Amino acid sequence: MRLPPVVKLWFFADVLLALWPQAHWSMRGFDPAFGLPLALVYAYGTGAFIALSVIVAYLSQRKTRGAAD
Amino acid sequence: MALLVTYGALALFFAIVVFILQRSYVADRNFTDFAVAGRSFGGFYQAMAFLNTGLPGFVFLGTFGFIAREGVVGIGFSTLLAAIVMYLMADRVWTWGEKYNLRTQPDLMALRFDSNAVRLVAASLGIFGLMPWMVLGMQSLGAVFYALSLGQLSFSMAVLLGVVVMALRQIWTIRMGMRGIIISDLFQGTVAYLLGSVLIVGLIVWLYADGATLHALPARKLAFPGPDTPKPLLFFSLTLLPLLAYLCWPDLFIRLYTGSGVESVKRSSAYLGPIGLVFVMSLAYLALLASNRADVLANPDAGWFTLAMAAGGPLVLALAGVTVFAASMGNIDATVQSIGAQVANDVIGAIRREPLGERGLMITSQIVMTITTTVAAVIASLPLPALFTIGLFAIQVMVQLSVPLYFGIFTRAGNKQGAVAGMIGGVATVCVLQITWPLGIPWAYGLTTGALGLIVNLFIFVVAHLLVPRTEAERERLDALFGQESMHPPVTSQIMEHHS
Repeated sequence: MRLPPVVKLWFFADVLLALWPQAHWSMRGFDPAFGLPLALVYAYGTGAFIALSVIVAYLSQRKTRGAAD
Repeated sequence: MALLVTYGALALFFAIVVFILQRSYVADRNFTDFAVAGRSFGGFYQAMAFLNTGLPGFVFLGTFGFIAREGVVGIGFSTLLAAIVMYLMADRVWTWGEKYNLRTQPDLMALRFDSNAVRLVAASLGIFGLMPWMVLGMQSLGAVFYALSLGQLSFSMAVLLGVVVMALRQIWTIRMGMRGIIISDLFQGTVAYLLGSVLIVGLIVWLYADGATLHALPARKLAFPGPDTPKPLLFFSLTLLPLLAYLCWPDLFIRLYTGSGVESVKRSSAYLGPIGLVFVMSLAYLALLASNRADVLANPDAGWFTLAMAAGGPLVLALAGVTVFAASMGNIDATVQSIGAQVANDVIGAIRREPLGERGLMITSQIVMTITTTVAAVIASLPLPALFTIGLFAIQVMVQLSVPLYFGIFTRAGNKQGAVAGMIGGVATVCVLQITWPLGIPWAYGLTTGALGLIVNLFIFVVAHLLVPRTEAERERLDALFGQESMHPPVTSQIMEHHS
């Protein structure tokens, strides 16, 4: 079953966000809003973004399959 | 009394696992039942089995210690990204697995490249990669028994005790094969990652109440190595390599076969995202928050136990021990089973002139599993300080499977010549470089030896693809395999005939 284009783009963004060295290097110091280290904000934000993408992919394909049935 | 609490918790956990296995025993009818549990499990079982294999007890010890020592560079996205890879692979791998009765990872590679040489090289890399981690898993149990002995046992005695307990546990793995592993993984995974996450959050709250703060940490622990450091690509490499290696682990890859369908494999990926996120990220947070404590810094690899004991005495220490015990058990079970299945199916089965029958494969697997457990138990009992270095080396070697594996599944590119020569070229590169640079090569901006091996591997794979012309028969075979034609590929049938 084919993935919806938005999910394909999301997966691509996941990989880019997790592996792009410039993104890693720029995360220094503390976030003024939460008071958390920027590296942790990046790690948790990226982690949540990735986890959500798989859930959305699964639900969207299940919905498509349900409609086809 | 304290010892009764800590060792009693381990004994109780072990007894529950054995009870579950005894109650759920079903005799395997054939090797497909034994190796991939008859392709019968749902999404949550699959997710727990995946975690229980991919995040061993070592995560609570070595990974925790690495983050406590080095900081955020030790945080990994690979488990989360692996869920995406599994999701993307699910359609093709499960469908091929079901259609061609695939039972191991080398089975799929032999099918895709129509080559027993690819099968043999892939199986060799997989077995070599698994063995040191099985020994390390047994030694991790030694760390559990040592920490929970509260100073009553020497470390060598604790390792011996851990090895004996884990060898005993393998009786059920050998007897019940994959079905037993997945059923027990559900319970073990729930304890290790769900109960474990609750315990981690509790310890974070306790640390904050005790006055811990991230602001007190040195700046180097709160930033990834940048362009001004000797290894600016270290975090990139520590993310990419485990990600590529994740589905190369033969014991993890076959989770794609054990699902009851494509739907259940994809559902398991959806479960893996949030469960993995909460567990991995909260453990990393805990390790960072605790990394300024003198008692943790004195021995960061035992930091998990140190914190648990400090926070709640023997009772919390017992819970911490049970989580590591549960995580280690699932990983070792899967490793033993995977080595047994690959040696029987992809080494002995492929070399023999007469293919092994279903019963022959099962019995051979069980004999190999018994020998593997015994050998690993003996090695684990020996004082081998370089074992972790060997484990890292094994990952760099095993990741060389990723070029033919991912290209083979996601594209029609490549051929058997490129697959075999690429894997061998990649491994040779790793072997040469690893002697001098075991972790990160400074002249390659911190890339690991496996990453450079992959470049060589990929180059050979692509060159072979461009230079070796594809025959019409091979084109037709690949068309059929990738679902464009309905004809059954004749050469594929020969390669896979010992499964029919």
